[in-house]
Amino acid sequence: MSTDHSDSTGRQLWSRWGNLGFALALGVVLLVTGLARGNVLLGVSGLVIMCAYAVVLEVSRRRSEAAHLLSPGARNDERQQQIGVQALAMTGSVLTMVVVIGFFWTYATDSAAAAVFGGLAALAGLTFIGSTFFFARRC
Amino acid sequence: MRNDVRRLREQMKLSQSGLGEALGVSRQTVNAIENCRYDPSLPLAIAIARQFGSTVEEVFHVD
Repeated sequence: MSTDHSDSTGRQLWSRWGNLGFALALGVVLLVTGLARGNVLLGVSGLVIMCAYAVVLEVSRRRSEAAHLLSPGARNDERQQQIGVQALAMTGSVLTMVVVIGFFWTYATDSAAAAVFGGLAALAGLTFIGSTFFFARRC
Repeated sequence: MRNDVRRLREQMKLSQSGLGEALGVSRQTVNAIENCRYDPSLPLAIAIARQFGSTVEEVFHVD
């Protein structure tokens, strides 16, 4: 009983402060990186943007289901989990498209970045093939 | 897939939140099912039917 209560409290705490903590941590990393590169403006804007994102998400979390779903530790049902999977799939598709187009563009213009785009495209392709085999066996 | 969730819920004088709580899903998910924007999984469809004392076939109708 007490374990359930502490689990629930921990989840609530994570859900409440997870966004702010994650955004602040990422903002600080951006700030430190910007400072290390000697670009203070870039570092400070990164921190400000991340903090603003966390505040907007926290304020709208109770009113918007989407904002709630973007919060870490949110208790999700099957539909909300499906939304997460679909959003992840769309993100992957867009990234893959950008990487493949980027590869052809950099390859055609003889840019050194073609190797990076090519490596990323190969990784995306292999991950897709591997995960298809994995889930075909598992499901 | 059409369903009678809204009609059965209103008959039982349950709110969407109340039904969601009983089923362990969110109010938004109950709303999505009622408006045919989301087809529940088989376990959830069975749970919904049991909640109303009906069978899945009585609650959900394949067009």
